[in-house]
Amino acid sequence: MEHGWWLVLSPIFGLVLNIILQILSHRFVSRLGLLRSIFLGFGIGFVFVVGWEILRFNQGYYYGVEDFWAILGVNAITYGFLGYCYYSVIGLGETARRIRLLKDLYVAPEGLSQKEILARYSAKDMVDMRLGRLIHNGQVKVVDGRYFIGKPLMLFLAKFAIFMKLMVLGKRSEFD
Amino acid sequence: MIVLAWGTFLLLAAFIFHLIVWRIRLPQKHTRTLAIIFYGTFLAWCLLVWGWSTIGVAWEPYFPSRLSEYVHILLYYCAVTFVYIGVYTLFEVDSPSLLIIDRISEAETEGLAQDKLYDSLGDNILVVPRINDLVRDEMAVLENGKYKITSKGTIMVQTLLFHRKIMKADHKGG
Repeated sequence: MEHGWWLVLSPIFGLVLNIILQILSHRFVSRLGLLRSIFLGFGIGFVFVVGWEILRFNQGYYYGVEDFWAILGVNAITYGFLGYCYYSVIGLGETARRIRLLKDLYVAPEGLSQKEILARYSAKDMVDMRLGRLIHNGQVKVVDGRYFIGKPLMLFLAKFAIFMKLMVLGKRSEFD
Repeated sequence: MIVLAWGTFLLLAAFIFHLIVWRIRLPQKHTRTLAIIFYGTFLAWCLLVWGWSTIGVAWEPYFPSRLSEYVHILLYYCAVTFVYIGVYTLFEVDSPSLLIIDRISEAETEGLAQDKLYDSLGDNILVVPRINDLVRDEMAVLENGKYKITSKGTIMVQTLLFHRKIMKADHKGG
């Protein structure tokens, strides 16, 4: 196989297709929520990237199956990760605490004091909201007014996050 | 095969280099340092290959020979690097949900009382560090006791608002 530009551009085309479909579907299909529009765009883009490589394979562009799998692997990972970046950018605007704070500062050109910021974002409200969600999902149980671990999924994620912090940062929390 | 092999090798090399640097000393600006390490590794490799080719070392079978192959490796490398830096910021900051789970799990079979949970997760743990992050990342400045957005922060917010506008996201829930 002679390496060509079509191999490089396939994940880029997939990403462009993903973004266009996500925006259009969210804009024009009223019953489609944000998350479903993200899945739809990502799924169709992924099918495009994989389908494109299979088409090229059937047309005999690859020397062998190993070449095909290697390029398919690279392009699927590239597309998947670029898609994740796009999802992160959307999610960033929706949920990240830092971005929500930044949006509040944006609409207050005279600035906000720490007291004013804390009046809008109390730690108690944050804990209430997240705790409610964890109880609703069964990750936390309440017995006689005390909290216990329910399903193990979030506990596993918490342990994994601590493991990664220890491995990369050498500490288990940002406050250590 | 050469794109997958070199791309993956360079990512592993950059990751190991990053772990070594972090073990020696945690940098002030994590994200910027990560970007310098990852893109610096790629640039150093390109210069090395270019240097070998100019002195006539027979490298054809083991290294990329076409510009499209270098761009392909760069694209793969950039995609993985972007995601790693994004995931890294999740590990760098303590997520409130994971903190709640961690506190409850520490209480083991006795369970955790509500007031203890709220006491251990106050404004100084959940909100103030994020305000400080904005100042550290030059998205906001503290002037006369007031936090004000900078031009860098304004660009970030305007980009996100533009995306919401083209999706008409303000008109329906997500």
